[in-house]
Formats: sequence, structure tokens, C-alpha cells
Amino acid sequence: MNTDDLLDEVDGPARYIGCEHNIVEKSPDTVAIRFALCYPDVYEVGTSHVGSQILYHILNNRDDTYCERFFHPWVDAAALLRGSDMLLGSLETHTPLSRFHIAGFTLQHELNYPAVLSMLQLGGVRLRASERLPHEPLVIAGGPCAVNPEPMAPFFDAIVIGDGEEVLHEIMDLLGQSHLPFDAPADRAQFLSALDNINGVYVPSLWPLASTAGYLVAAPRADGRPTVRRRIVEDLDAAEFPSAPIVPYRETVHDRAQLEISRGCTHGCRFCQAGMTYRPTRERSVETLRQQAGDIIASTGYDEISLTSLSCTDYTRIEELMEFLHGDLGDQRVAVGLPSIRVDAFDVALAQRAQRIKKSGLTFAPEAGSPQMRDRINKNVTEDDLTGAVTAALEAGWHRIKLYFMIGLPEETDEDVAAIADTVKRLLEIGRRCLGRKSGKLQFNLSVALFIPKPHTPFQWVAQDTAAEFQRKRALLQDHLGSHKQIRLRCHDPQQAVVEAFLSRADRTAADVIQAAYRAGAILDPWNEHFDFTRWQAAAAQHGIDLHQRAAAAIPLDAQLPWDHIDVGVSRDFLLEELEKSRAGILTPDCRLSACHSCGLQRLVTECPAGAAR
Amino acid sequence: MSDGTHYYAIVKYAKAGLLRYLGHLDIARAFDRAVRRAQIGVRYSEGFSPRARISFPPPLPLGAEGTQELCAIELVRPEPAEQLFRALAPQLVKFAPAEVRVKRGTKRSPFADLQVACYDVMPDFGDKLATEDVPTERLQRAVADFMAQQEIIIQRNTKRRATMINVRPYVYRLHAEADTLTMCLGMTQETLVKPEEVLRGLAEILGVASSGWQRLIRTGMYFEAPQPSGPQQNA
Ligand code: SF4
Repeated sequence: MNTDDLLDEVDGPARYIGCEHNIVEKSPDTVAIRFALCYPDVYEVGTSHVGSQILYHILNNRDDTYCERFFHPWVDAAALLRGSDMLLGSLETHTPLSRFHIAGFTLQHELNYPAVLSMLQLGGVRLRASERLPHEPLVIAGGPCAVNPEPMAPFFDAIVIGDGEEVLHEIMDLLGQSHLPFDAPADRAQFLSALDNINGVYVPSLWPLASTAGYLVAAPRADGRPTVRRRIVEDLDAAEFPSAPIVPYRETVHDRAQLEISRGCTHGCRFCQAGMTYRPTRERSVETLRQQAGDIIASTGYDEISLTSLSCTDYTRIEELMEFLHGDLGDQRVAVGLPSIRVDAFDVALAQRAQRIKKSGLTFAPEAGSPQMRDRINKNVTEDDLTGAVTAALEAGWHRIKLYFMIGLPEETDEDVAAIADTVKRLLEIGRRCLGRKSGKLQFNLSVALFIPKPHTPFQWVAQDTAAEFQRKRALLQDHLGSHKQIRLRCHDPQQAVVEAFLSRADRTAADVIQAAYRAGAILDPWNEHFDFTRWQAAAAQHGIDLHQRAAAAIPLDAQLPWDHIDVGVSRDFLLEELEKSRAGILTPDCRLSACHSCGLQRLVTECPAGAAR
Repeated sequence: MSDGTHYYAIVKYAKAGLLRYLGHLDIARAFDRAVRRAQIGVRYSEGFSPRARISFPPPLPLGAEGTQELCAIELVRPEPAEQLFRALAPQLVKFAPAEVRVKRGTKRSPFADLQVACYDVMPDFGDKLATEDVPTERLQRAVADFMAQQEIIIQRNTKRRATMINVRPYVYRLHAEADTLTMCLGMTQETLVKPEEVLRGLAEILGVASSGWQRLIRTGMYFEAPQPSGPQQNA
């Protein structure tokens, strides 16, 4: 079987052909390093990821490197590949993964873990770092999930913690000085110990482990180094950003240009991992963004550009930026999108100005229904904010409103769950009054996420609800909502949430479980239709682990944690304080608007820009 | 334009190599973005979400190639073809654009009058034919037989129902050489015949069950209307 035969048989062959506008074409013979940039999900998801676009651009800007892309094939193509003698190849030159010098995976979601193993195997690379031969690619990883690298640690030679822009250059410089591919085990080992000296690089094989209270945690190193510190690009304005991103043919999950306006968020929602692990907030300047937006539109031809950030409307000069973008791009019929807006009327007015051209839905994330619960999770939003925002949205002509809530939050009562229903019904009433005879058009889409305790958050120690409890609360919510044509409820899958919770807080023994689940057929697990809980349950049981019990277990506050040797900036003391304040229902204001709370970050950055913004 | 005259930039391009796996919508999106990058004076549709007016002839099936494909970009005002080509060509590199012509029209779709499409087809009638000693000769006999008929009745399925139609009059040319069939087929609303339908007709004559293709290339589309084709003694 050859590639053409394969393409003739699969669904959506356009995913596999490459050839896109702005693809980078280099002759592999002219570079010293071939880098395989791997996204462990399908093309439509992976091509939409801004972080990968940045890395593709940075790596290909180097004369000594050719960076090529890999995605996980859809299930039909994966099965055909597995049954053939072909290997997974790059989109640029169709070169098998095994022929690259280095492969870098991004870990965006825990449920993508099995796809990493699958891509390695489809690409002809041994799964475990310890098994790899000297000439095989170095396999590294990064991304938000890397803040607890343990469950995937055995599969990677090294893991990057934090922002990749600077550290990647350091790694590539080091690689550029090496004779590639390595020909003796000693060369590879020597390279890994050199990597170990780069700030922000975790080389799992060089960290001894010890068992405490049933968990594998890092043991003291001979050289006394206590932690790996997260890398932070302090000057985001100077950081590279692609001016000519690849334009896919196929429709992707974010089929538009994306402009990263800021990184980090200091609202301090206590369940939110990104809010803790991407601190501090750093912004690009209006001038830089204007330039970048113009370049991206000119080089791609997209008719929409969305501003990306954990919380767009927190951007200090957001109004000015929007004015400029409209001025610059409006004539070219380019819509400017604000995907994340705060729950307040001012932001609705901004969104209205943003969506002069297209009016898609509007999204708010009150997260909890009762004021008490919002205080506990530090979501500084009042009932008035919410009604004000929704009223403003309806008056501005939006009929479709999406609302994000979360259930299963720590110490949640049935009243808290019912309060979500009450809130939505109240909004529905407001909507009916606002729209009068046109209220048939009204649509509230409720997306209900399930709480997952995440490492490096104040809730990292707390128990998750059991799957059965999630089901019960979901039924309770449905019951309280009643049935209304205008309300649609979508809830995340409780079993997926259990697996995600297990993987999030797991130690290194979870690698065996991941591998066993993969062997049993787990590949594209974020896709509901391809997720099978029994595979995970059986894989965990083989290793003496009860998934339900693990997810639903509270971790003692004094326990050493499997991710304690990863220093993301926020300190254990700050997290503990936040947990206590949560229990007492006390809010912690955004440090950009109040005083610095000494969250720990001040140790990692020369001057905390969050504090300096005041 | 207010007087009902439309101006189009007709781009001739190729859908070749791996691009044959692009669906019709993929190509439409790619051209839309290329036109935006080229910053030419394209006309937009009216209404709530205006779109650039870009149109294509009937699409090729997935996996089929086209060496002389066409795309029409409606212009706000007529512009010199060379200028349009200079703006568009760098944005359409993957589609190897060969030329741009500016055409005047009064109809909504500039391709409504396309009469004939010609194809080179490498048929796949299953293993049976391939294992024979002289498959070409047998194929040529079948072609001659096909062209000698008055009627070749094919079942065509639409969303609602299946109808039986005679495709023979609009098979203007059919010829076999080595492993390739050359065919010129009608392509207006009334005369449309698909290459797959010709293959089905041939499969019936050959007495084989399957009728696919290994390679299908649309080699050209023409505005000149030939006479409906009657039975031919020597195909
Ligand atoms: S160090 Fe202070 S100012 Fe900086 S992110 Fe932490 S709390 Fe905010």
C-alpha cells in the first residue's frame, strides 16, 4: 500500500496532503536539524492551536532547522496505517517520524495522552525514552499539561515547563552543536545532561523518585537542585509571532486568524489551572498588535480575526485596540472577534462593536449559580453583573447566549446546583420581557463542565465528585430547569471527567495505565464517540488502581505531591491560603487591581508586570 | 452593474497532484482567501453576510484531477487581464494558474453556458478485465459497441427518486487508447453526463459488475455546443 492508495480510502483526505498556503518549504538536506512538531489530535484541532503556529514559525525562522508538522490521523486512516508497512509522515515532505532528529509534542489536554503513544508507534519510534536507540529522535513535550509531567514522563526524553519561545532556541542551539543523529548511547546521555542544565527543562530520567504515602514523588537530587522552574517570557511584546500562519484548506475548529493579545490571567479563579500557571499577565502593545493583525490578514486572506487571551477584555487598552483594528481592517471586510468577555455590560458594548460584521453567539462564564459558590471559587461576579450583561446583550440584538457553568465544585450543595437553574430561569424571564413577541428566537445554551481538581491550583488537594454523584447533580439541575424550548443543556461526560482527574493528579505509575489503555484501543479519547471508560478502568485495575477511588480521593494537605518539584511560580503557601479563603467564602481580588498577594511569582520574574500595571 | 452586465475574471488553473483530494468547498475557501489577499476589486453579494462572488463549474468528484479548471471572479469594474493575473498568480501558486481572461456576461453564472467537458479516464472494472490478455482491444470493442447504440439507459439517483435516462446523445466522443478512455460529455443542465455514468454503461456492455476509476482527469471545458451525437459506425 502507498500513500495514494491510503488517501483514496479515507474520510477527509485533505487532512493529510499538506500543500497549504504559507506552508514552509525547505530542502531537508540543507538543514542540520529536522524537527517534528507533533499535535496529538486530528488536523482540524491541531492546526487551530496558536501555540503550535508560534513554534512552527520560530523553528522555521532558524536557518539550521526544518520544522514539519504531524497530527494524529482520524481513526480510519490510523487503522489503515497500522495494518500497512507505512509510517506516519510529515505534512511537509511525508518523511516518517522516525527519521527526524527531534520530535516535540504539545500536551493540551490529558485525554490526548494516548494519542502521543499512538503517533510515536505509527511513526516508528519506540514509546519509552529508556528504550530508544541513540539514533532515534529525541522526544520532548511542552504545553499546559506539562505542569504535572509525571504521568507522561517515561515517554519523553525531556519536558519543557512554561513558555516555549526562548527555551526552544536554547535547546536547538545545543542540538546544533551536537553531531546528529547520535551514534552511541553515551552521546545521547551526554546531551540529556546538558539539557538538564537549561532552565525550564525537565529531564525525567535524571530525577530520582521515592515512594511516600502511596505516591511516587521526586527524591532529593545528588546536586541538591530542588525544582525545575517554569520559563516565563517576560517581554511578550518582543516575543516572535507568526505573521504568515498556514491557511488550511479544510474547515478547522477555529477557522480564522488568531492574534494573541496577552498571556496569563490574574483573576485567580480557584479551579482554573491556566489562571495559576500562566501568571503574570503580560500584554503585547497596541502598536505591535496592529502591525501583526495587518500582516496576518494580508498574508492569509482570512475574513475574521479573533483576539486570543485567557480573558480578552482585561487587555488594558482594549478599546483603543478595537478602534484601530476596525479602522485598519474594516474596509477589507474583516470581522474582529472577542471570544472571551467578562460578565459585564461594558464588555457587551465592546463585543457589539467587535461584531459589526458578523453576529455569532455571545458567551458568558458565571461558572456558579449561587453567590456563595461564586465567592468560594473566587469568581467575582454578582447577580447584577449577570443580569446587566445579559440585558445589554439582548438589547444589542443577540438572541443566542451561551452560558458556562461548572458543577461538582468543592463543598457544593444541592442548593448551589439548583441556583444554576434559578439563575438561568431568571435570565429567561428577562429575555422574554426584553424581546416580547420575538422571544421565540431566544436561545440559552448551557454548557455544564464538571469540576476537575488540577495541580498547582488551590483545589489540587480536594476530592472530585464520583461519576454517580455527577449524574445525580446533572439530573437535579435538569429537574430544576424544567423543559423550555429556549434552554438547551449540554453537560460534559462524567466518565471522561474521572479519567481526566486521575491523569491530572497522577504520579509516574500512571504511565503504565496510559500505555495499557492505549494497547486496549484508546487513541482519540477527547472525542466522545471514541472514548471508552471500560478500557481505562481495566488498564488501571491491571496496575492495582481504582479510578473512581483515585479521582474521588482528597489528598492530605501535608502530603508531598508528585508535581512538587515543578515550580510554576505560585507557591504552596499561597495555594493553601487560597484554599482556606475558599472554605471561608472570602474573595481575593485581582492583583492587577489591588495589592500584590505575593503569590510566589515574584521569585520567578524580575518585576511582576501584574503588580507593575497598577 | 446596473445595466445587467457582469464582468468576470476567468482563471484557468490546475487541480493536480495531492490537490485532487480537496473537496469543492475546500477549493472555494482557498480561492476566496486568495482573492482577498490579491486585493482585487471583487464584487460582494448583498445581504446580511456578504460573500465575494466567486463561482465554479460543476465540481469534480473527490480524487479527480483537472488540468484546465475554471473559476470566475466577479469584478466591480473591468480591469486588464494581465494586471489581474499579476495580482492573483502569486496567491494561487499551489493551483498553478495558467491565465486570466476577462469576460463580459449578462447571466448570473458565467458557467451556465458551458457545453462540453472532456476527460481522460483510467477505468477500473475490477480484476476480471485486468487479467485478460488484451484488455485494450476488448475495451475498444465495448467503446465501439457503446457508440453504435441509440440509447444507453442509466439510472440516476437524485435526493428524492431514481430516474432512468438516456445519456447516449450527450456522449459526444468516446475513445479508448491503451488503458485510458477519452470522453467528451455534455455539461449543461439538460445535457449533463458524468464520466461514472459512461463507465457504468461500458461495464454493462463488458458484462462486469464493478465500474470505478483509478484516475480521472478533466482536461477541458468548452462553451461551443456540438450537435447531439447519434449512433456511430466507427468509434
Ligand atoms: S506576584 Fe503579586 S502581582 Fe504578581 S501575579 Fe502574584 S499576586 Fe499578582
